[in-house]
Amino acid sequence: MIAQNLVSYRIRCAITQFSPDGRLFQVEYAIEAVRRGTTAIGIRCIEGVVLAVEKRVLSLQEPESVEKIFDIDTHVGAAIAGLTADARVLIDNARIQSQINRLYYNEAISIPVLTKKICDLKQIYTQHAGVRPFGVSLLIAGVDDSPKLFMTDPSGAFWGYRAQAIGSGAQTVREELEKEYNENKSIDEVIIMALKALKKVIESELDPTKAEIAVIRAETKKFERLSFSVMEDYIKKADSGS
Amino acid sequence: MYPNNEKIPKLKTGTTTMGVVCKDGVVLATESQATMGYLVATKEAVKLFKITDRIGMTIAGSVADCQQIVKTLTALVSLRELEIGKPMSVKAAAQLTAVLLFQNRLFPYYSALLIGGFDSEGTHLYSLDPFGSLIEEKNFTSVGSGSVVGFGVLEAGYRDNMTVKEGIDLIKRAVDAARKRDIASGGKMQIATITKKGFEFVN
Repeated sequence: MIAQNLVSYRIRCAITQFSPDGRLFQVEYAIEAVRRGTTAIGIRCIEGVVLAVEKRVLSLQEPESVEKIFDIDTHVGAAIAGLTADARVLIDNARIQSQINRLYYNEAISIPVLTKKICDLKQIYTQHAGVRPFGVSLLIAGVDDSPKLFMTDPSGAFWGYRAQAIGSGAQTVREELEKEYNENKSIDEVIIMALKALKKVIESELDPTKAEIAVIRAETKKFERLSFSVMEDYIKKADSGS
Repeated sequence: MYPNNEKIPKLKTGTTTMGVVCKDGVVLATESQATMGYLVATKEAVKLFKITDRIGMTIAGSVADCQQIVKTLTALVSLRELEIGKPMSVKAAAQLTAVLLFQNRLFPYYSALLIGGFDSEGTHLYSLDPFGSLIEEKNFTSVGSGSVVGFGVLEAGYRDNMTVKEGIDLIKRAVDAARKRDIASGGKMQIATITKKGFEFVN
């Protein structure tokens, strides 16, 4: 009797349960939330990594307050697609993990290790009772020994990429990246490539309030966010090039 | 019963450990006597350990505490190397040991350690006290009751850009002097080099 109650209690509380054909619907729905999110692009080249995202800003909203790219440590940042609130929790955790790494090992955290730490947390939320998965994918970009780019999905799986896109425009952007990608492109060329791809998925005219770009150069290993004025120049170049 | 009204006698212990930074590697050396007051508890104590293929450590202080540090550190370093998928740097291993010591500062490990090694950034030698202070030594250092004797020899004999071979000769003389002149040091000599070839004991 008690055992039966425990079983039914567990079924009521565990949200992510296998379906008879072995799928986890809640995780798949979370991936769907990512598919409906804003487009985010990550491109790695020899000179560094570039993150570019689409921002949907309402007419009276402050564009600066809409944040889709986060710095995690001096040498690493992440672009998000999906639920922004869920992403903030993961970013907070990632920032703590990178500081723990500095405290314990006196070294900046390596990008694959950081990615694994984020995915450890994501995985927990696909297996524990009473919780739902994080409805967010991250593009984690940084420079340790060399420039690196990883994508995580809500299940807690991750993959390394040379270039990748997530969010609603991902398919269109991926096709564009497959055509244009070349590892030897300079950072400037990669930024323009990202903006050109972004233009294909943004409905209205591209301007600095509708995008966010961050760069981590292999030379400096420093996360830099592009200012509105710098971004304007790149947008002009992207416009003239197409 | 005992001087100073102490119920438990404080048994004098002692050790000599030292490390020398050379241009192509690090030399670590210790003697092998464990002392308890007027008793030589053993003449074959091991005070020099391999942590990884590129990192070595010498111990001084309580044997129990030091052995635990060596075992804990070896385990933590193995886990870390699996996590990062490459050999751990000497700097990282030293910092990890410092954290381990500092986390126990209320009931400290009674230990004075040297950590030496060779990695992609070159040769490194660190000394640690029981509370987790971490000092990088650029030339050489010595720890233990015999260090005062050893330092004299090291100070006189050390030159910049020594080879490992010259480092071994110098450290042999220094440990030998400590064995002869420090009452708590003696027994055999243990020497190891850590170069790009890895950790090797010297016979």
